[in-house]
Amino acid sequence: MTLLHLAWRNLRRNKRRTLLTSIALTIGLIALINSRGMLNGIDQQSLQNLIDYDVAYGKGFAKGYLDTDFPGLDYTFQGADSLARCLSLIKDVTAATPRLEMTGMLIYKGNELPVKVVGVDPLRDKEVFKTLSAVVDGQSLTSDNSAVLVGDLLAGDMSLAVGDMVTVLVRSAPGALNPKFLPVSGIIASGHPKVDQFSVFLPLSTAREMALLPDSATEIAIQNANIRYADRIIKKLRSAYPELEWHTWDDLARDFLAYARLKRMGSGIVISIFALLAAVGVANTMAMAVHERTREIGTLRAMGFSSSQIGKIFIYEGLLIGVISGTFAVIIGSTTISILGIHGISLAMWGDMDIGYPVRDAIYPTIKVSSLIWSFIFGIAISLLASWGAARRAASGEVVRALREGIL
Amino acid sequence: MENRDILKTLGVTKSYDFGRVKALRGVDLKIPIKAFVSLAGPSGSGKTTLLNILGGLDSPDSGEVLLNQVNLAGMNEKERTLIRREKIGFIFQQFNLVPVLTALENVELPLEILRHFTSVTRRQAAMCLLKLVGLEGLERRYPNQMSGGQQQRVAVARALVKKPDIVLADEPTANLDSETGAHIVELMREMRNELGIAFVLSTHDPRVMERTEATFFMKDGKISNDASSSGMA
Repeated sequence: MTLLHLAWRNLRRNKRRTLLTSIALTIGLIALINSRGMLNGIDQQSLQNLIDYDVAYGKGFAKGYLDTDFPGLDYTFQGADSLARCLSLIKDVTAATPRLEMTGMLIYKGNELPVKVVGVDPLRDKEVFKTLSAVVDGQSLTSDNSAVLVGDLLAGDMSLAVGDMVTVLVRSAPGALNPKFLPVSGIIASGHPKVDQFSVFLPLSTAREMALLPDSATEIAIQNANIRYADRIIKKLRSAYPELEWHTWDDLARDFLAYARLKRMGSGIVISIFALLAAVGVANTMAMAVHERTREIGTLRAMGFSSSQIGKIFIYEGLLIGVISGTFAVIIGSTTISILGIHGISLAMWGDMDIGYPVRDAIYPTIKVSSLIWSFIFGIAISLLASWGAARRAASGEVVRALREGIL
Repeated sequence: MENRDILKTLGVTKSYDFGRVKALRGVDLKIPIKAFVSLAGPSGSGKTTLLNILGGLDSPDSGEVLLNQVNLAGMNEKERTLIRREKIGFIFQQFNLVPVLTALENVELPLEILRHFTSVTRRQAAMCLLKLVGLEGLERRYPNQMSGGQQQRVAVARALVKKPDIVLADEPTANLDSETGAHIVELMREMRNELGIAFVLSTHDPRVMERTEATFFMKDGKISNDASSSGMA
């Protein structure tokens, strides 16, 4: 009969109360695990979408490009194709591709929408971005075929289908409006809402022709063997090509990362409230236990149990509530995350609303083992902290008063 | 009866409420080794206060409490806890068994905190004591599955299992009918004979006093007589 064993028996003394306390803590921990799982999932999907369709592992721009809200074609650089070939030779850079981005209009049967017109190198772009591989209908772009790819959301808004002829209107570098009548070769569904809703992709050669900027680009994007090398490689590129400004993916995605941090903080506040409620439940249970067992505490003290041994009994009761709740929460939480991770959580209820993340359709929660362990430990810590006051009270009372009056 | 005193008090005083209530006013008491004595007196006479001080549950304002020549009065709570753990057994009016433990586990409990017992010896000692108090076969019962008399027998076994120097029983028969109470007092007397452990019983009940070897009467915080039988005090 160890103190832990005695604590376990005490918990079983009032099963309903122990059960309710454990359920409250378990629910709090499940909320924590699921919330972390959702945020992890959406963060991972978002980052993957950003890297695959937007920022790559890093990019180079003409100086000042990023400091301007609507840079247009005022910040382009020459020699982008040869630079892309050179960059591909650098150790750990697996591919590089130039892009020419400009704002424009997409016009079809009297409908017109503002879009981002992106000129891509059909051969190189595939090695850096997944855009050209995300074709769900029709065909991707080729170097010798002047056509456009549009996102499925944009195609839906404009009732476009593969083979339809659309007008892409851009303002060329000298400032003249330059329309081009092109067929839709394919529809893409990337999962990145901005790509699928607002972008039109066409061959780089066509874009340059429309912009009247031969051999130019607004950016050059790189892919490396491992995302961990991005910082080192960008540093190297900064010194090798100082005429351009170079940024890593996390630098380019800083708005998103700040937003994600904010979301995590918000979620942390909600979770803290849950944790506080659960802790109040545990503290209340333990306080009642001390109150009910005051005479028993006095008896144990009379028998020679030390204050710390008495305190330990209550600490162990808190520990056991934490372990039980943590175990159930980890089992239920990880099962929920696993199921939701396979089937996803539909974002249909949000409709066309921008949820602030570069994801669409569904979130696929995911959680690391370390997060589960952390949640388990967090549950125990909450329970232990909540038991601390009761344990101190149990340990500190006068023996005689506890025995005589049942008061500590 | 041997001459050596197991417990002795010299001029013990205790007051409460900032000195306004004087519970003990200079108590001198000698309990010989293997004694079986009672402490009697009306409510408020100081019996329980004295018993608490004798048992190291409380400390006196002044005076000495010598248990086997060791003065408890000068000890702090931690030191008194160690003394209680090894040398003093308690029996309470309301039995005070731990309700979540079986009879056997309740008896084992005092040995849990004495480090030198293995689980096997703990169990053997507890079984042995339960047999001695006549509860063989009821080891697995929980307190709420036993009568008051049986519970008090468990409490007696629990007080004796660590072989203390003295057992202090606070109104041990007050919650029992007279027949059961008599059996319990008889049991304690047998245990004294069997194990050689001194017993001090506080009581109102003249029938209990009759069964002890001596009775100390308390009045207004003092022992009002020498022990009522020869050889005491």
